[in-house]
Amino acid sequence: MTDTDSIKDDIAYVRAVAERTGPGHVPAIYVLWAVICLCGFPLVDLVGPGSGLIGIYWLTAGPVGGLVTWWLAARAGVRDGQADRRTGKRWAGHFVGFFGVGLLGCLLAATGELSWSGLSSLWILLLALTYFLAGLHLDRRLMPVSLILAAGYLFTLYLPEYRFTTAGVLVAVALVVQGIRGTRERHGTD
Amino acid sequence: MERTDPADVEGLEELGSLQGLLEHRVRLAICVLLSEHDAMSFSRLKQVLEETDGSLGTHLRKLEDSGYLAVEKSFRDRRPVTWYELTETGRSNLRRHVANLARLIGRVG
Repeated sequence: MTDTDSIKDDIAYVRAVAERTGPGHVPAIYVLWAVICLCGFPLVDLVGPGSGLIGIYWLTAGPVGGLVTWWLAARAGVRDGQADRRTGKRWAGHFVGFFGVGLLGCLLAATGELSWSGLSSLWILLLALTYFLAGLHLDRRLMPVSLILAAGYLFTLYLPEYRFTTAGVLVAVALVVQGIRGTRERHGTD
Repeated sequence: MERTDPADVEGLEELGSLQGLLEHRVRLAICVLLSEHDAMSFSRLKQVLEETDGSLGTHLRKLEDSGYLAVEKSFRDRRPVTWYELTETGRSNLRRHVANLARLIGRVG
């Protein structure tokens, strides 16, 4: 083996080692957001799209869910011996961005440019895009959830009844399934 | 016996001017891992690198003594946990080393 071959061999080793430390997986976070979506989405069907209860719910559940997510991720990092603060900030950036854009979108309904039902559908579409980008940049397990969210968006437009409930159930199931799959994959590699 | 290519020699001289510390693949891997993650514990590094306690400890000590790593000790469930982070010195030397490796590999194909 020449020296260059030896260097190439070392680089292959380093690459293999680096691939063993993918993004951390915390199934509790998937379950948390499944529960939040399962309670939040059907609210639109239950209390009507223009109800203030929906705003109160998401303005509370969103930030609280975000903080609990941060705490769960930090706790998992300590348990696993791997701290990823920069990655955590990127995650937060994705979802804080979504929340901010969603809030700005509320102006469309407040000014009468969009119906409240349309705004609820728009939030689901924005969430689908956020999950897609997070799947692309941070954790590919979110990619299928983004597709389900996109399907959920279509359901909110075209289903005759229980449109948001159906979307909520589908998203919750998708999140739980991805949470379980991630755990299985991780046990397979550990 | 295999003969070393002249291009290899030139590239290796370039690498020789760099930190010999990173010539060992385990130490290089430690620095690469810590450049990807903010901090890693001894146990996690051991699990990922599949090294023995003694071997990993020696490599980490060398990197620590050269100012490449910062060490922090804490407790979890009453057990001591040693955390390692890449220092700015370690990060800039790793960056230079990787750039030179890439140049060398690129030159010889």
